[in-house]
Amino acid sequence: MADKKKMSVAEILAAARAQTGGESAPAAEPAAAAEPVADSAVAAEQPVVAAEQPAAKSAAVKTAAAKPAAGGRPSVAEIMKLAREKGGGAAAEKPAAKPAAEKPAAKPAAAKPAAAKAAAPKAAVVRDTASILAAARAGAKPGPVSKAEAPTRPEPRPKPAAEHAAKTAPTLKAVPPKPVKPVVKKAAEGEEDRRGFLEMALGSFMSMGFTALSVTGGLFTLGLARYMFPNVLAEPPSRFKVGFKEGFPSGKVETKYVAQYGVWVVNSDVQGQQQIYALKTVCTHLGCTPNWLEAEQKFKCPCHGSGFYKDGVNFEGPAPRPLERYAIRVSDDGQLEVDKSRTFQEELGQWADPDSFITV
Amino acid sequence: MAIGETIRNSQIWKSIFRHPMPLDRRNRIVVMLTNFFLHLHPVSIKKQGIALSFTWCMGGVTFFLFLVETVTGVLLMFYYRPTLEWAYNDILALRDVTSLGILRELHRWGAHAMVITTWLHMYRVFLTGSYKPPREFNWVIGVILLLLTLLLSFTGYLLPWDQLAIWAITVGSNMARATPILGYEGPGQQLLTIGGIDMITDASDARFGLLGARFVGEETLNRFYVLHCIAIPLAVALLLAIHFWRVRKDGGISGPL
Repeated sequence: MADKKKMSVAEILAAARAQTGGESAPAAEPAAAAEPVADSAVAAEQPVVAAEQPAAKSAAVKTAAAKPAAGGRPSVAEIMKLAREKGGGAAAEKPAAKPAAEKPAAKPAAAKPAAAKAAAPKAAVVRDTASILAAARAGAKPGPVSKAEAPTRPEPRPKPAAEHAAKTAPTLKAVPPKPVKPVVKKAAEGEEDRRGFLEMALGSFMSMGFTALSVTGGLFTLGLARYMFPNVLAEPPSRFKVGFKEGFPSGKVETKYVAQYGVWVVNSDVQGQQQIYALKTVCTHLGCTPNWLEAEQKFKCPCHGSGFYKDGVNFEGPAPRPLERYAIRVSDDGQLEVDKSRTFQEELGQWADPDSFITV
Repeated sequence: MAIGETIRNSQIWKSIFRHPMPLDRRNRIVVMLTNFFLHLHPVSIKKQGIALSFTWCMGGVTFFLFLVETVTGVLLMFYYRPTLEWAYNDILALRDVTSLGILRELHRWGAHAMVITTWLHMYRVFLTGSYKPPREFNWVIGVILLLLTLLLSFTGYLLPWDQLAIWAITVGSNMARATPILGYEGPGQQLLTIGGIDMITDASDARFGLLGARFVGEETLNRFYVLHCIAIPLAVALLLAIHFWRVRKDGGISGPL
């Protein structure tokens, strides 16, 4: 058996040339190996089919498939490597080829030696390294076409072949290194997909680790979302007591709850009815806090000059609507209780709601 | 996995990841070189670089704990107010009232662990001789990082504002009284005397600068809070960047001698 690594340049080139002669084999020795060569030609033209047949093991297909699947032009190193493999393969098969040729059963195996034989006379033709490399770069190398090689095939090939190359090109990415596997996988595709997820998530210690990490991360994120919503508030309560009715004589505007609660408690005549009500201290213009001016008997906003009567109705400045009321009621112990969670707006007719005032 | 294929071929995916799936050698390298986070790590490292028995992964563990402390610390800042009125109550509320109150425990235990792993990392570097040239400068940075880690621990100790915290900082900061020249009880204190007037007194020495007052009080709490949450972490982050960068530039993770 020839040692691949010890092949001289001359041998490599000879082997490459031997491959070059492969396609013309039928013409050179039609009688000797007509059938096997025909078979190999079929295998060469349809590598997809060939891969599923025993012929897949023929050296020709093998060496061709060994070529790197790079999309661009092959480098010198790749070409030489390819040539070395072919040369070695051809040399190695020679002794085994002769007995095989005698047996009709060994058709696929005979394909290669036939090609080698046919190439033998052609080896005498002198071709330099540059021309071989140029030919290989241009894709002129005849013989079996692997799917990986297909896209690098040259234009000048006959049309059917170009079409074939174009057809095989899209499937280029889908071809795994070992052609046997996809056939097995296809048999139980649905099952494989479902199992595939589990395998991805728990198939190895690494994937289990990442799964645990992502699960923990997800739970931690959920916990954080909850963490950002406090359970205890330092705000004043929305419902608070302001004392008994007697503390609010007629006409009085109580301002002592403004700072803490934002509320005026007023006892006033509203449309002929004496009421106690809680006004919200937010100007309806842009949200400033107006002041109660006792001398002028009005609420006056310092920001833009809006003015409101004692009952909260706007009468000057830019404020578009009256002040709002909070809910107010007499609690169980007789004190007045303001509930800031409910508001009543005059322009919506809500001041008629009995929850918005206490009749004196 | 047709959905995965569709996602990987979408423009959004391609605009984020500047390379195909790392299924071959070249793209594995490209991924490391073109990803902001991954480029911090070398494309390839020596085999013993990932041997736990050699590195103990102590530097990595320490960095991981620093990240844990950063994340949990930022989250704790949402609920903690460094004032006499609220500091202690907020710590109690973090423990008893707040959802996911374990964040405070994570922060505390992570801090303890980080001090330990820093020491162990230093110990490993010493045992393997990794402080020798050309790595001697990185060793110096590492020592500074150790000091900053201890300072982080020290300043964070005061923030719960319980009796343990107050008296621990009182005792700890008393050492600064004995600072040479700059401490008012330290040697050479009388050197900085101008015209018979002491320049270094208990209201102008190193300890006063540290506490912001003569005694541990609200000024100290605020000062330590800023140091703990802003100043020292920034310094640590900067030095960490240099530390990691020097590991790469000084020939990668050290091998056995």
